Amino acid sequence: MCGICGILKNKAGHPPEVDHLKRMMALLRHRGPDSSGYYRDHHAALGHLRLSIIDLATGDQPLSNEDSSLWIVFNGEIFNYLELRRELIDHGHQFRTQSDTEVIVHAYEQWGKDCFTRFNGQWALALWDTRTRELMLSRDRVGIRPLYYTQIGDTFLFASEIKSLLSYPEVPREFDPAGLAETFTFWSPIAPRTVFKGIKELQPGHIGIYKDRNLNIKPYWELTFPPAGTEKIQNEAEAAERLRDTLIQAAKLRFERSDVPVGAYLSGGIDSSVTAAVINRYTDAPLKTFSIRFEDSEFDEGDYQQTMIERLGTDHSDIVATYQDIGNVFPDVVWHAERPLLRTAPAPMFLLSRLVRNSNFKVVVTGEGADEILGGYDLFREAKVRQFLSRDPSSAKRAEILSQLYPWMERSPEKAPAFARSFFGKNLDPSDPGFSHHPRCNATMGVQLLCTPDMRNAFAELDPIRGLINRFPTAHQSWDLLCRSQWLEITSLLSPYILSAQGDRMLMANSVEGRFPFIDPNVIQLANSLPARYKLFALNEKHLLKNAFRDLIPQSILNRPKKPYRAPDAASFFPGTKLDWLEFLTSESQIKNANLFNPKAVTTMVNKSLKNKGTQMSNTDNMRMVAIASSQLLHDHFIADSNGKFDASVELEVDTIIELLITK
Amino acid sequence: MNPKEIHNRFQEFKNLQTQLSYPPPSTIEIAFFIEDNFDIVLNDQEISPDYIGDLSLAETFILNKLKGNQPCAESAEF
Repeated sequence: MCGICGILKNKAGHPPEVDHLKRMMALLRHRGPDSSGYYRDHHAALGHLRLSIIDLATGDQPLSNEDSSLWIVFNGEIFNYLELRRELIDHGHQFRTQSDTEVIVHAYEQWGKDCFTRFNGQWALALWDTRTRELMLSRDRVGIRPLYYTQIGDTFLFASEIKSLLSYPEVPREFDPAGLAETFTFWSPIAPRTVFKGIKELQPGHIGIYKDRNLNIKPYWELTFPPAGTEKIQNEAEAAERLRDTLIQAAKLRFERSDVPVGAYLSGGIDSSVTAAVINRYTDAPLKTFSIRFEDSEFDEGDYQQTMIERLGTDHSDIVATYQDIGNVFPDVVWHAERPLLRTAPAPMFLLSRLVRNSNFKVVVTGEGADEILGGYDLFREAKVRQFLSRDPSSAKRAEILSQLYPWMERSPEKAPAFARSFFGKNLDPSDPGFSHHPRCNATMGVQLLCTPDMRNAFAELDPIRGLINRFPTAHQSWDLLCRSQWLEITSLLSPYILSAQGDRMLMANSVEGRFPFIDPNVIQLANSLPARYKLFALNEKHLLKNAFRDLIPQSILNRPKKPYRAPDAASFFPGTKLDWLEFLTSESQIKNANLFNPKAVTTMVNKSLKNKGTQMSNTDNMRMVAIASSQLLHDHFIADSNGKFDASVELEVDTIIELLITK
Repeated sequence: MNPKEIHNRFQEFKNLQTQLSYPPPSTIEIAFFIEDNFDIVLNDQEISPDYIGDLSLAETFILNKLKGNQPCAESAEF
């Protein structure tokens, strides 16, 4: 994993400024602390910060083809690079290194932009063709690795993180209400949108070709499903066997293709138990595993983690997060997440990756993506339950099924049936493309009520849900309800939030690479081709996954009630001792300064939280408190720049300099 | 869907119980399963242990219901 950035200049006689490039690189240092390098010619400059994982000796970047006409900076891994390398050698290509980076360069030479469909990996990259003066940007299918860009006059900029772009002197640092509206609806802006004006994110599964001041963006991959009832595999045993084979291959590839040791996360749930159990078969030494635990037993999964540790005999380390830990680290978390957060859940992931790094590991295999790809989320069950209710809204018996939802919640439907009937009984039209996501989006949009009148007026002119639905492939009406829900979840939450705000950013903040077998392209392709009932059988989530790996996972984990990963939210901001940053940023002057929230509403919310030290809060109030804290931090970090991170002089020693700029 | 396919779907549900040691489903869960798999809507009277109290009972009920609703030759699909 690495950090990349670059500057393209369209005006003759105005080459990219090396000081600006170094400033952009310096802000990505956490992504690649092992080495650094840049390339510069009259038109383009490419910067690279390396976290060395494959080909430690000769894998430094920027790297070129044989005649130095094509240069690359690359963040990520191409897991099938050895197979591609053999194929490219057969085509006559000559390699100087053992790296996957060089494979990309030759693959691009050989197959052009079609090369990306051949990659099994996680990447964000830029290829600069000095002959055609074309810059090619590309991002992996699901958006594991980030890539942002902006254009300022005659200058085009790209980078792994927004902070790098914002360090360029002419780039404005302003919030974009449209990005905030998406965040306060879906939990994150969805690419190409960000919360900063003028800054865009390359969409997952897309390439962008920049030439002559124009960026032409195209998809090379599309998330899709077959029409319901036309799925080819209609045998459960066959489906389970194929899923097992494909997932084992995906996990093995991610474990073995590394020149540094690879560890694994163990959450106590089924997904990470499966990935850890699979890779444990491919190592002679005890597998190194890592877990997050919580002081608050409502969130702790320690017993399940211990069951799996004993089953696998791993060399295990964990960290116990307290309210105070989460509150203390939250400013750093927002600096890395680069968007308002509605949950504190990324914060423990930040603490966990720090533990990994302090244990001298820099690669972990994790279970992310299983819930989205294999039908694990409560939201999918909720959509089917609401579909069941919709068939006879006047039924006296159907509401009993609501007791199956969210059993882990303190205010579960079983404990509050009247509220549940009212909450889940709204908008019961399963033909509505956004059917599955309306309850969650509506609850999240409760945050918007705290915003200033100006902000709310701006939001009122936007319709993020319609914008998302408009992106549905035309065939979506023929898909099963579960598949439509999966598409929405993968597009609006997995890519922009789970893999980004809670994934890449929290891992890379501590220079750790995550690898995700469940979002291997072959696993996705297989899972999407299966009948929906194999994934969510009636209300039994991830049915096929459990079936396929039931010999490797203890019964107590297989049969445990589904409980999503969560962390204490508002309670983390009121741990008993004051958090100075929170007190300062929620003061009336700072609220007015940021101009996002109504000062009175913030005071009311803070006082409400103080009453019970942030506990006993409703779901929406928890989101509101986290949204206030994170948005204020975001403003402080990126717009007010109170720490002077964007204006500081750059102290970056660059290891490799390829300077083709001829100065007279 | 023909009787064999209906039986297979019920068998998939039964396998779930045995392979993963799940507790027996409640009547409302069986009603949910039926509508999810057989494209029919049950009324409140039918969502009863008398008709669909366990999976074997429910399978018989569905076969009878589908036959009753749409009389046809044995080999034809429902």
